Amino acid sequence: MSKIIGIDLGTTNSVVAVMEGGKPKVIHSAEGRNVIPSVVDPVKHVVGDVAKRQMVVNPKTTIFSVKRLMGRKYKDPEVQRDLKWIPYEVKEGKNGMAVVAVEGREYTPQEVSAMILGKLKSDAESYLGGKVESAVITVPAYFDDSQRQATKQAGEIAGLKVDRIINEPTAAALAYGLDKSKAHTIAVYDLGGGTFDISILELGDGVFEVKSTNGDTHLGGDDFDRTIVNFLAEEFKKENGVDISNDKQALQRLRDAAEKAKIELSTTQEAEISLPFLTADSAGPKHLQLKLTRSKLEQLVGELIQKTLEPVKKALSDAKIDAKKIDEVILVGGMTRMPAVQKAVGDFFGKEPHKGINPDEVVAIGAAIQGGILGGEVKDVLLLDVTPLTLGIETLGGVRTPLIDRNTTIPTSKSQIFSTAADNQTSVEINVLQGEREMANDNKSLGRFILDGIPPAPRGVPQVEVAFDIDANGILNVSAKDKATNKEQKITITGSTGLSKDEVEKMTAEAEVHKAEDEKKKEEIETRNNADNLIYTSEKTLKDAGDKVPAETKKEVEDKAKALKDVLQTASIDELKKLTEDLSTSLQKVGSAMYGSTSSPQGQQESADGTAGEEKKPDDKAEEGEVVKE
Amino acid sequence: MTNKKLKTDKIESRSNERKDSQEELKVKLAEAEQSWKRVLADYQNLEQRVSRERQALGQLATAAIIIELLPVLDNLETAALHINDQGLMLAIGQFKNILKNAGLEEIEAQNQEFDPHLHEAIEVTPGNEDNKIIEVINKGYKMFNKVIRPAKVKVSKKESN
Repeated sequence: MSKIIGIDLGTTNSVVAVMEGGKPKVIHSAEGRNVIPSVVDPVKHVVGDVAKRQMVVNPKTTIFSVKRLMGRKYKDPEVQRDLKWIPYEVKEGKNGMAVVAVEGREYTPQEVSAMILGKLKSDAESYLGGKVESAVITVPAYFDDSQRQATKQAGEIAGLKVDRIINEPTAAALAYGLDKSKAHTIAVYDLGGGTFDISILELGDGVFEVKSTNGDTHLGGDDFDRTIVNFLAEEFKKENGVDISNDKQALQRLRDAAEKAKIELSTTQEAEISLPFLTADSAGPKHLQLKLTRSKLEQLVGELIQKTLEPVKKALSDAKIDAKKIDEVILVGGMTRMPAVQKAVGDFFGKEPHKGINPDEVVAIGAAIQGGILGGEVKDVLLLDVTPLTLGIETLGGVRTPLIDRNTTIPTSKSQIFSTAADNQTSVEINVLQGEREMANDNKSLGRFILDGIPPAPRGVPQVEVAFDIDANGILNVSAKDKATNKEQKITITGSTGLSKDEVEKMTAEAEVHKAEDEKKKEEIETRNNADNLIYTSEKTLKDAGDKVPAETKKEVEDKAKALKDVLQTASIDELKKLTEDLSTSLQKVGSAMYGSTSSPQGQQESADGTAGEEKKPDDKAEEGEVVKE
Repeated sequence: MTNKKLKTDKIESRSNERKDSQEELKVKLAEAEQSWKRVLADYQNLEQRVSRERQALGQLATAAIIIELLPVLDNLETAALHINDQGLMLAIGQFKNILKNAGLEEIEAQNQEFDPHLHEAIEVTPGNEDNKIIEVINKGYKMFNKVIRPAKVKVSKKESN
């Protein structure tokens, strides 16, 4: 079954997204951008960035903002107003509808929009590697039936079955998952490239109802850019006495720099604008260099931001809702990245607006989610859960050894081989732990069990396989199996994922606080374990070697092993490390003596990682144990 | 009589119930099969795409940093037009060489036919020929056969018609 894509067919830019693995994903265009300009040359059949680049060369054949004509009559006052500034030709077509005339041919706005949709469709197909047949397309909440019908037709002309037309603010609310929230009234503030929309939604039974809409069809990011460009040109004139307002090349560079600075100032307090050789007069080249601060920018565009609040007030009064009664506020459109816009909206409604999702993409994401719901995909995949905390077992010295890391998607399983810590140890205890701390005691114990009947053997030799398995319902099965006898013990733990959000947050935060001290404690124990293990190895090596080792070497190793053993529980970490190293060096002489001129015996390095001491604890990895065997 | 009738009724309703639950199970099974197939398909597609993207990633990373460097090159080249200095020329040559070795290619524009796939028109001026690039305002560049920045150009247009 092919996927249902979600399309935000915008006035200035358009975006396409799709559900994948249960998550919405915005599809990048062939040009590598997440949005494409809604610009079309119907004669040459070029769309997007490419069409936009030839706009000044072919102003009569490059169609932009065609959404403003969708499903409208030629005589509509809105169309008549737009005619004044639209450079291409608009005529009265069939049934008095507005159509675009290009080189003697008439195109309906549906046909032009279909070319944009066609490009988005083919971008989606090349991304998904298969045919796309259906789509959910968004429209402004104020679109009437004729405009919605036209949008649907555009989809059909592009070869897409339009499964649903949804409102842009509704799509944004879906993207934030507000259909599942307790929110009752939602305000969607959408400040795009060329238009501003405010919508008040009411949620009842998982269905959004548009209570009111308002806006300004000619207010957006372009106005902000223009304000900055004017300011820069003014400053340049003050500084250099040269007027560049008629120098197209210089203005182009100013426009690019203004947009860049505007974006930069959303994250920094100050942006440096430097345009060397912006222009030249008889006295030589002139450069523009100035610092634009965020506060200066906010001062410049403050009026534009204030201008958006009037329609907001009207929308609220039409919906008969008080600003403070709005439960959630959502920001849509690239301009809402500006901190001053966020602040103005936040202050107006008296609450922090939602802004986690890329505001250019949020509508398309919502449309993709709607597509996922219609295709039955969303319901299915939401079942997949993750383990909220790390799961592991206790190993020698009370250390926590993780098996399944936090945020692993379930179902999942993982196994690891452990061994014994003492000679002739016949049982191990498995203590199943949950949490982010390094030491076993600081984590939550979910359960424990004992595997016994392990045949007596030197420590490190037995192989105990510990397996963790979490099924899709979050039920954890832990088993321990002795590889020699195939004897197995297991425990089933329910509710390993059933922690409240608060609990998870608390445990994760605690781990963060104690991170440094936990790591130190763990290092201490590991150093002690290593030292103990080396003592064991050296004693064993000397015993195995018998009289093949010169007496003086034997004495040296014995002395150093004893020295280390004496201070094992009392010495500092650094001291222990030094003594362990010392012993390790001497031990290598034993090896050299036994093998003649060959290098150190193999068991060396592994034994340093090995374990010793406490009984009835599963400990180190068998790869290490195995080597001790030889 | 009535008792017997009741009994068969009960049996019938029970077998109906069984049929119902069987139907329900079938539906559930079909749904489950659908969903794991879908997830598997998503996963396989993802794997393919990840391997494709991994190949492109190195190129993308290089392109991203070079795009940031281009304005510096532009300014150095403009400076060279104003300041005739051999040292500056040498430095520019050195810089361009490094970029070229990294895969950067200049887009030909001067006197070419305007092509929006490669060029972005900033200005149109009347001239003898149609659609000809008469001036390059800002050089365009390609990397790995992809336009990373279109050339910004001035295009001529025949006056009559």
